[in-house]
Amino acid sequence: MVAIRKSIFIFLGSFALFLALILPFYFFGELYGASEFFSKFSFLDFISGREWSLPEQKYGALQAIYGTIITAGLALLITTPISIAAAVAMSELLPEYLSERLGMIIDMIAAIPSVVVGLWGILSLGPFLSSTLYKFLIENLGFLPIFQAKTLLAYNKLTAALVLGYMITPFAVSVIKENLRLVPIEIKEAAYALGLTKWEVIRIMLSYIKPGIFAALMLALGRAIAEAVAVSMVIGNTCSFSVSLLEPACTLTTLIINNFAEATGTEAAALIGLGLVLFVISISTILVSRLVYNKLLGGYMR
Amino acid sequence: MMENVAVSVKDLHVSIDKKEILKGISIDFPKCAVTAIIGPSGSGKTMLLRSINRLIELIPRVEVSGKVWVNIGGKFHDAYTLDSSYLRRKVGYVFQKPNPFPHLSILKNITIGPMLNGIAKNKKDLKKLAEEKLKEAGLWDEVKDRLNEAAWRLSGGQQQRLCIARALALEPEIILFDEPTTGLDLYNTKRIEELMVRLKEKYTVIAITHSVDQAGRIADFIAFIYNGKLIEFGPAATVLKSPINELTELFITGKVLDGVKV
Amino acid sequence: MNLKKLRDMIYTCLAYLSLLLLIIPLCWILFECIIEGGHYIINRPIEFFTDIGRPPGIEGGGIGHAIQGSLYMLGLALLIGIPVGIFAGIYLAERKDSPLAKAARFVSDILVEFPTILVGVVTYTFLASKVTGILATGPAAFAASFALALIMIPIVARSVETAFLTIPNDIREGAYALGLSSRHVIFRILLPAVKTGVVTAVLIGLAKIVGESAPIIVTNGISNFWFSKWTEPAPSIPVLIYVYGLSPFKEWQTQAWAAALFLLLLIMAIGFLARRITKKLWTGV
Repeated sequence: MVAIRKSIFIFLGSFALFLALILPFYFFGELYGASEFFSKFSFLDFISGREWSLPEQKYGALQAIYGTIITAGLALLITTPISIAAAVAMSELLPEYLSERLGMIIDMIAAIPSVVVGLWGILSLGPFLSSTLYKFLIENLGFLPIFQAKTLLAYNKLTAALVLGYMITPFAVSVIKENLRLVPIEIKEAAYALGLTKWEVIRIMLSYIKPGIFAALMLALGRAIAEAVAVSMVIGNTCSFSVSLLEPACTLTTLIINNFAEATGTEAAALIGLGLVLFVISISTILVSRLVYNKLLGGYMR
Repeated sequence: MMENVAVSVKDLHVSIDKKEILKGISIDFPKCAVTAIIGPSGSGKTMLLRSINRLIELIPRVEVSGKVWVNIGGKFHDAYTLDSSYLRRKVGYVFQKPNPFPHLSILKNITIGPMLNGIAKNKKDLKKLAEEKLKEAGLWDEVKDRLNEAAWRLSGGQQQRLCIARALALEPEIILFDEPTTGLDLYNTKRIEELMVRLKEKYTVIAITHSVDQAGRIADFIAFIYNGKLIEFGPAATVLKSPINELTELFITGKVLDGVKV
Repeated sequence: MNLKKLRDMIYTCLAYLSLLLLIIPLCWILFECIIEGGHYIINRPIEFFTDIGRPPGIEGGGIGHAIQGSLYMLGLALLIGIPVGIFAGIYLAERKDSPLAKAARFVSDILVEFPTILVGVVTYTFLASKVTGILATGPAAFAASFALALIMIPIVARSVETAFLTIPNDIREGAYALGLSSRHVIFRILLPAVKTGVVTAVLIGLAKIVGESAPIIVTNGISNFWFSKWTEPAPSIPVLIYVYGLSPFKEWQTQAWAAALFLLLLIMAIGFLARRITKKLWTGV
C-alpha cells in the first residue's frame, strides 16, 4: 500500500524533474553547441568583435548586441508611457464594463503571432511610415545624427522598435493594470481625503506600485530582446554601428533566425554563441524583474 | 446664532444600491469642541462622517440628499457645491485603520498634501511644516532621526499619529476621526485621546468612537445614532448620566439593542 | 484651481489617446487581413485550404500543405507536451512544498518568458544537427515538434497546477479517508473534478505554440512541399506567412494575408473555447 502511494509520486515527480531540468538543459545545450566555436575563438574577442563577416571568418557579436540594445531600448521607451497611461485609463477612468471589453481586446493584441505583426510591419507599416514620417524626419530633422539617412528606407531600427513596442505593450498594460487593482482602497481614500485631484491620487497610486511597474517593464524589455521573427522582417538585416534610427541593423536574434538553418561548422557554432549571449541577457532581465517584485511583496505590500 | 456651529447637517439621506443607510439626520456640530458619535455597528456612523467631507462619493452607487453646511473661515458653505478638493483640505479625515502612504517616507507623507495643493512650495518651508505638525501630533520625538525612512516601518500607533499629522498639515478647520484607536494598544490609545482633546483648542473635532467609555473621556458632546437616525444629541454629561431616550440608555449601559424598533 | 482641472483634463485625454494608439494598429492588421486575405479566400475557398503553393508568377494556389504540416507538427508536440505538462503540473500541486516542486515552479516561471528561438537552437543542436545531434538529420520536422513541446510544457504545467489547487482540501482528505491510494485519489477523483481546468490548460498551451515561427524556422528550416517525412523539413502556416511576406511577389503577399487571417481566426477560436470552458467551470461548481 505504502509502496503504491510512493510510486505514483515518483512517477509524477519524474515529470516535474524533467520540467526543472529544462532550463539547465538549455544552458548546457548552448554551451555544448558553442563549444566548438569557443575552442577556436576567445569569448572576449567574440563579444568585443566589431564585425560579423562570413567570408573573412570574422565573428564579432558587438554589432548584433548594439542592434538589440537600440531596438529593444527604444521599444521600451515607447512602451513605458503608453502602457502606464493605458493601464490607468482602463482601471481608473473607464467604467468597468468598458474596461472589461477593452481588456479582452488587449489580450487579443497580445495573442497576435509575431509573424503576423511582422507581416503588417513589412507590408503596411514600413511602407506607410517611409512615405510619411521618415520622409518628414529626413527632410526636416536630417541634421540630427539619429535621423540621418542616405536613402529613404522603410525597414530600419525605428520600424523594428515600433513593431516591437506594439508587441510588448499589451503585456505591460495587463500587468500594470493588475498592479493598480492591488492598490488598497485605504490608500486611495487617504489621498482623496487630502483634497487631491483624481490625477494626483493616480500619481500616488503609481508611486505605490512603482516596483510592480518596474518589474512589468523589465519583463517587457526581456520579450523585446527575445523577439526574433517580427524584428527580422522589418529591421533591414544589415549589420552596422550606424547611429541613425532610419538605417538598417541586425540583432542577436535576427542573425540567428536568418542564418541558423543553413549554417554549418564554425558559423553554426558562432550563431549558438550569439544565443548564449541572448540567454544571459534574457535570464538576467527575468531574474531582476522577479527579484524586484519579490522585494515589493516582502515590503509594504505584505 | 450659528457662529458656534462648525458643521450643520440638514435632513441627510444616504442610500447605497437603493438601500437607505441614513434616514434623515439633522445635527449641528459645535465649533472648537469634541463631538463623539456613538452607536452600534452598522448604524450609519461612518456614512454620516464621510458625507461631511464627501468621501462618501468614492463609494459606487451611492445617493446623497439633504444639505451639509460647513463653516469655513466663519462663513457657511454648501459642502456639495463647494470644490471637493477644497472641502477635503478644510475638513480633514483620520481613518479607522492607519493608512499612511506606506511606500513614501515619513516626511513625504506629511508634505505631499501641502506640496500638491500648493500650500507650501519650497523644501525648507515644507520641512518646517512637517516638524511643526509632527510635534502637534506628538510623534516628533519618536521619528525625528528617521524622517526619510518608509512609513510602513512605523508601528501601528505611530502610523496613526502620522496620519493625524498628515491631516493637520493641510491646516484644516474641522477634523473627522473614524474610530481612530481601533486595534491600538493602551499607550497609543491614550496618546491619541489626549491629542483629540488638545486639538479642540484650534480645530473642531468630530469623532466616531467604538466605546462609550472613550466618549466619556474625550467628548464635550455626544450624538447617538441608531439604525440611520439620530436618537439623541447633547452635552456629554447629560447624555451619559441622564439620557432622555430609552434606546440611548440601553446602549450606554451595554444592553442588547438588536430588534428594537425605532 | 482651474489650472489643476485643465491639467487633469489633459492627462485624461493623453490616457485615452494611448488606448487609441493600441487599438488602431489592431484594426489596421485586421483590416488588411480581411480585405487582402479574405478576398483571396472567398475567391478560391477550396483551392486555398487544400492546394499547395504555386511558384511565383503563377496565379492561384493555397496553403493546404502548410495546414497539413502544421497539423503534423502540432500533433506530435501535443502528444509529447500534454502528458508531460499535466503530470508535472499535478506534481506541482499535490507535492507543492517539496523542494522538487519549488525548483520546477521557479524554472517554469522563467521558461514562460524564455526566448523561444533559443529553445529551437538547443533542440536542433541536440537532436538534428549533423555535427552534434543525436539523430543527425539536419533540419527536420520532428525537431520542430520537440521544440514546440518544450515551449508548451511549462505553460501547461503551471495551468494544471492552478486548476488542481482550486480543489478544496477536504475533498482530498475525504478521498484519502476512504483508504484510496494516491494513484486513485489523483486520477479517479481529483483529475475528473478539474477536467475542464486541464482542458483549458492544454488550450492555453496550444494557443501559445500554434503561432510560433522562430523555433520552427531554426529547427525545421523552410519548405514549400507537402509533409513527407519527420526527418525532412515540413511546411507550416506561420513559416509560410514569413516566407510569403518577405517575398517580393504580390500573389504570395496576398496569400500571406490570407494565411494570417486563417491563423488569427484559429487562435481566436482557441481562446474563445478556453474562455467558454472556464466560464462553465465557474458556473458549474
